[in-house]
Amino acid sequence: MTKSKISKSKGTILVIDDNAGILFVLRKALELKGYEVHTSDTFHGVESVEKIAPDLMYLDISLVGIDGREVCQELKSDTRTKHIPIIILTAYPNADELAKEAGANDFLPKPFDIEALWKMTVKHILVPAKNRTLAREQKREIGPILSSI
Amino acid sequence: MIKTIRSDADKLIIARREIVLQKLQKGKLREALLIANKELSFQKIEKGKRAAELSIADIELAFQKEEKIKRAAELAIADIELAFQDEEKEKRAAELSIANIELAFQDALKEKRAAELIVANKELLFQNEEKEKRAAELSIANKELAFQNNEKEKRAAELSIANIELAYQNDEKEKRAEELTIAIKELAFQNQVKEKRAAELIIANEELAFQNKEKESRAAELFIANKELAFQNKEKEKRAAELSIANVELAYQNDEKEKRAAELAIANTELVYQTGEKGKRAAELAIADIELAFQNKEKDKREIANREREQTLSYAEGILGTMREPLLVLDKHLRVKSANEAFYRNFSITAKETEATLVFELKNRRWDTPELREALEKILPQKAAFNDLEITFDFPEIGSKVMLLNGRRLIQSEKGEELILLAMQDITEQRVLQQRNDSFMSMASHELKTPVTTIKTLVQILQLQYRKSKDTMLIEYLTTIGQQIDQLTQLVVDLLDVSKIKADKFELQKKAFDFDTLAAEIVKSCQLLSPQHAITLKGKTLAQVSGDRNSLSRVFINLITNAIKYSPKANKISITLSHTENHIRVGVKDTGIGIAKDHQLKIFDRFFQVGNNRGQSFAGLGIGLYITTAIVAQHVGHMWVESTLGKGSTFFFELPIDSSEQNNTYDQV
Repeated sequence: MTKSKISKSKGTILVIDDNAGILFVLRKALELKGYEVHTSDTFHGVESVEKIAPDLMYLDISLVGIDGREVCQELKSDTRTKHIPIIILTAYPNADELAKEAGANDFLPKPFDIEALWKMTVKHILVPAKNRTLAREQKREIGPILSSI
Repeated sequence: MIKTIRSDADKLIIARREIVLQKLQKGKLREALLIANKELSFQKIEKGKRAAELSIADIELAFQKEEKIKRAAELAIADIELAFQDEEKEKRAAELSIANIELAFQDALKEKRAAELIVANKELLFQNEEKEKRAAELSIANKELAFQNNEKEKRAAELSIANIELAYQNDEKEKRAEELTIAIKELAFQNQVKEKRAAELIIANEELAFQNKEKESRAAELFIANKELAFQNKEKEKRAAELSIANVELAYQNDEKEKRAAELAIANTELVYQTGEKGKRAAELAIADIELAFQNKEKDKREIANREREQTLSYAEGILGTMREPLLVLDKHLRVKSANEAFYRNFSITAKETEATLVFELKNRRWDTPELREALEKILPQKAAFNDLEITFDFPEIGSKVMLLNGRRLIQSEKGEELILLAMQDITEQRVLQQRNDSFMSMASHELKTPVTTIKTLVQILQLQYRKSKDTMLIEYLTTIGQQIDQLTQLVVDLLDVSKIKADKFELQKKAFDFDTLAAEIVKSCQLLSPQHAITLKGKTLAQVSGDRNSLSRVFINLITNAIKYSPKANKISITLSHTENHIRVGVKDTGIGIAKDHQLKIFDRFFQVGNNRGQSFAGLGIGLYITTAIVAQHVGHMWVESTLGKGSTFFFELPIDSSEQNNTYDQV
């Protein structure tokens, strides 16, 4: 697995796709927005995902030797990884059905637009673990102000 | 002595005279007696007569007495009846007065209810106003949310700029990263708050829907109450009618005579009527005669026609025998009456196995499919026909066969027997090729998507990174690559849509939306695509359409881009919106190259494209209209074209208007 160089990030994203070109552009596009990106051309097991502790995952359906849906189901049934939002990335026309079948949080059909990728990321990414406590405190301060608008 | 003698003689004479006298007297007496006797017998007769008369008079008297008794009895009965009728009348009057009291009470209730209705209406009005206020507030809230979204996007954009700068500015990197995390947190909060708001909006919507339902149920209750009142009014009217009937009856009994006279008058009228009827019958008979004459003529004509038909029958049999397509003729019980050579050859079956067999029993019941059953069983009773019914038969020895079937009703006129003609076309091979083609297309477009995505994203990253560059050549190249990649992306998506349509996997997410708003948006954005064409929008549909907004936008855009594409020398495109009671209609008119009559149906097929007679060709795969038609058809609408070659075309499509009231769905941001 390859790791992005940015150390302090808005969150960690793991991308699994068997196409090197897709891995490359997803890394570039997401790093541009300040995310820490890990990429892999296949699934190395729940432990490896747990180790990276991503705040979001992009997962291709047609991986070499394994079905992305099975990967998703495995991650979603393990207590260590089931909280991680998973977005199915596929060129299949019935992306929505596949994502539902896999138990994924959402889907992004190929070909996608860079803006759509960024929006999808912002929509699903968890607040990075290290910032979560701080976020909760701020929520208490900002919350009432926002709701009074 | 003499004297004595003489006196004796005298005495004798005197005696004789006296005897004579006595005799005379005796005779007289006898006569008087006779007369008296006669008188007596007369009196006796008279007496008898009188006695007879008296007995007659007695009988008469007795009869009169009986009559008198009878009359008295009748009178007594009449009196009883009258007394009874009086009682009835009093009873009825009592009932009426009760009914009146009841009605008065009901009237009061009705008034009360009406008052309640007015109050309820006022309340409903108030609730409507409240609802509208809420809707207004909600739309304001939506606008606010949209504004916040914009703000957020702006911020995100600013953040990305800041990030790029960060990559280059190592010193400020850490500081900025911290700022960014704070900003993200804030965004996360805003998101949460936004979601909360969205949830509130949903709840508010549900509440509104609930109030609507309540309103409807109240209206339904009020409606029922009104019906009940109307029913009671009718009951009242019925009673009044019954009473008036009773009165009429009494009047009738009092005036029997008048009734009789009326009956006679009616009888007279009837007689007059019967005379009239008799005249009519005579006229009808005359018409029937004419008709019979006509039918006789027709019969003659038919006989001639039958002779001609017999001659053509052998001719037809000759044609059927040499036909390459399998053909079956079935009787009304769906038994095979005859089959042609091609049928036996195609299905490896003999005439013996075929003739007089029920069609569904052919080939070990392999012909027994629900589709064929349904189609065939409809033909005779509904006088229907079917075309291009596709049925796949699985025959163990000759394999799977895909057949296109046409069915028609025939009448063998000399017997009046109804027959079914079943013509078939074996499209097995065609279908295999088509399937191979479709799956190839699906695979090809799927495989194309990955490299397209990669290149597209890279170009977008480069464009972002170099948007402030002064290298005009680089900017120009990137723009061109970007445009071409977008076209390629669209082609790939279109190709996949075609294979989806073929595989019936084309799905829509239907939702009600305002069609006029969509039209205005699309015309505005299409105008940007081709500034040299003036695109005008006329009319309004004033309707909500339930459909997939994105797909319908595509229909619209396809038609407008087609209009632009096929009118290179013209500069006007006009779009008209209109509506009927149930449909909206859109017309997209250009003054371009137009479409020849024989091409006007083909343009909706796959991969068909109109070129002009000078060999000019247009870019594209020829699938735009195919997809467009499929989308319109999936919305239960339809599409057609009116065109003159060299003068331009107008494409129309119609969609059903969404009549449901659940139009106030808010987009979740």
